Amino acid sequence: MNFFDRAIKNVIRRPSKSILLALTFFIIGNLVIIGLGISTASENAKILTRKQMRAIVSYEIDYDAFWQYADSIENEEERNDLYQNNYPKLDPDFSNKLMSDKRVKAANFFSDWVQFYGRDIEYVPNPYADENNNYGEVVYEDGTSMAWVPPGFKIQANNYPNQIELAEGTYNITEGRYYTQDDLDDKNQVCLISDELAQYNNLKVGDSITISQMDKNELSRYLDGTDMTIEDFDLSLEIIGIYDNTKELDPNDSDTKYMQPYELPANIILMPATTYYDYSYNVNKTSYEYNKNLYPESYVDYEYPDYDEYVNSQSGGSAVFLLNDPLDVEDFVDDYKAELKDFTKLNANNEQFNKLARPLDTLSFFSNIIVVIVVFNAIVIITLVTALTLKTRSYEIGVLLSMGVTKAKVVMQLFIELIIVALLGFTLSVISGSMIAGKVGDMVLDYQKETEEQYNTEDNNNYYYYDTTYFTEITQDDMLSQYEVKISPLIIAEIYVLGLGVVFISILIPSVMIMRFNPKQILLNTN
Amino acid sequence: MAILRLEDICYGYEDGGYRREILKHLSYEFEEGEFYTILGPSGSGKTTLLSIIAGLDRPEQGKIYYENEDIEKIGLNKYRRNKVGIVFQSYNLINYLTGLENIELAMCETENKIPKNRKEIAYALLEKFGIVKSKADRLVTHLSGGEQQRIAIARAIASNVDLIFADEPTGNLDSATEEEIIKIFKMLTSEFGKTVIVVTHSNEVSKLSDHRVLLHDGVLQEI
Repeated sequence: MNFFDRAIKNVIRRPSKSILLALTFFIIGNLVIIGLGISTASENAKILTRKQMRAIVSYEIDYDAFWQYADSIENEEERNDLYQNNYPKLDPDFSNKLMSDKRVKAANFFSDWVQFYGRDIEYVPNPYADENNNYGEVVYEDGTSMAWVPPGFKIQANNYPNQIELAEGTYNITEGRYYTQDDLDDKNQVCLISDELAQYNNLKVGDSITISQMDKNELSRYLDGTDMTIEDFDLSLEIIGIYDNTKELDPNDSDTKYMQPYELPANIILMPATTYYDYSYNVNKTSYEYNKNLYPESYVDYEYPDYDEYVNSQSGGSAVFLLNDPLDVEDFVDDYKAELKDFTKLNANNEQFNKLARPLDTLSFFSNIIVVIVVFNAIVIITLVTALTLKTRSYEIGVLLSMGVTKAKVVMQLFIELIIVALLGFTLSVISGSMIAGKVGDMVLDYQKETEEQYNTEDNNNYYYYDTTYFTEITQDDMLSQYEVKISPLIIAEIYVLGLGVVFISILIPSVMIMRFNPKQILLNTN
Repeated sequence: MAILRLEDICYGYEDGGYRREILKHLSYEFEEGEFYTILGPSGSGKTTLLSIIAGLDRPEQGKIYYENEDIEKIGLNKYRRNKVGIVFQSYNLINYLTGLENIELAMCETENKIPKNRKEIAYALLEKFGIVKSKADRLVTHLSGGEQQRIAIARAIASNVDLIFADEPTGNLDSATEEEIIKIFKMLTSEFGKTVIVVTHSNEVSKLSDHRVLLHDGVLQEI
């Protein structure tokens, strides 16, 4: 009949006391399960949504901050100087630093998407184009006009040799290879074209194509009377790879028939950004010199920039990084946030994500508070109940002490009694809590959504679309559809650990009381 | 041979601003296997003396030797657990346990040698004191006062101790039951060889004891 046996017998043979105490634990357990269940479901929904989202972090110009700063400058000259000479730029070194992070899988640091005309290559026409498409005409200063010919191609010129579309399988290389760091370093005139474009022009790896940034007819107007030729504006590229673009035109999309050739997935040409910069720098320099000759007075204060300066001005508004794990996104941003220069930012779509997650955050916040309050109250209640029970059990404790039973064993008996009752209460609460937590969770979430909609008049558009298109488009419904209150084994384990903790803390004060018990006094009082 | 030796025991307490000396340089020896009754008027300090020699309280001065070993050195808890058994007027059984379990409790807590077949020994002990098996398996709250006191006595010796203290053990019992309980105490010395020290007002009890000791003016005198 050790303290463990005595504890069991006391629990069994004093059923009313045990049931009342178990009921207390049962209620506490239910509240904690509901709280933990809702909190975990909210966090899980966010994690699952994050996992479904692409692990994208965009290093970009913070235009909002820049314009706000510009607006705050009252002096017009100063403001113009800011626009002309201090316009924010991305720092290529910082971008390279981000790129070298092990968490980064691929990156697109494009020059701006640029349209090109084919010289010896035909673009793939839009099979769904409206026959009545009229692209309009260009009217020149001399009054003559010419039908505007849309460019046939768009290039993606990347600063890095691992493009996001390839890493994600949007593009798949079917033949040849992607350009390497060496190609980038050496500004090699190489490119990759789509399999559709290759087929259409009967091209293969090793062949060359010639493209130009300017329309041949339009260009010939300017070149008349100069010693320049159309070929001076050409860019010859060797095809080093052919890729399959999994993005296809949607015939049901009303916009498809209005798409210009360069907007078609088949007409995208991939090339090293350095090659493009090199070409672009020279072509623009030729144009600059042509115009300077023609209108010298307009170019008095304007010198053509050197190559590095030119490249910096061309490097687009964002460098987009694809990470290996979507759950690393926030940490990645936090790790580099401090190194950002003025008017640049790391965008992980967090603002929007957090906005969409607001109902879940509120739920999680309140459910955590409920858990804390319940646990605190549980400790107080169980401490009081145990302390009051000691009063009625002082006779029994006195007897045990008079027999030489140590105070530690008396405390252990009380502890075991509480544990048994707590286990019973919590086990029952796991069963009932699992059933009601889901319903309560859904009910609270619905209420939360309604409240959110009611008060959120400022910007009620939950649909998110970012202009780089690299971020995954998510809606609040997408996120909330991931919300499911499930009582996982982990939560059950948490309940038991929490229960054990509550019992342990609750027994502390009664233990101190027992340590002060004097068997003689108790027995004298009783007798 | 003295099983218990009291040496210069002093004890007192504050009562309404005055100090009352209960035990005054009390010295006495209790011999092994003898039945003692301690008598004295109410308030003479009998129960206080019993508490001190049973290890429930400490004297302000003096020493108590159990088989020539200072009980403070043994440790009061250990002394109560392994050396002595105590019987109280109101039985002091654990009320959510059966009679048998109360006996097992004492057997389990002591560090004295107890054979492994505790249950059988406990049943046999209870039967010896007139508690049959069916009653031994009942919760003690379902037993009469006399039956509870028999169980309390059985519990006192169940831990295989040699010294039994009892404080007014028949105080709550009718005269017929009192007689039976006295016989049991007598049996403890005659059959079990235990030393029994009983604090009592009862002449019936004291008549059967080997030594009648009076606590008077803070000291013990054999009468």
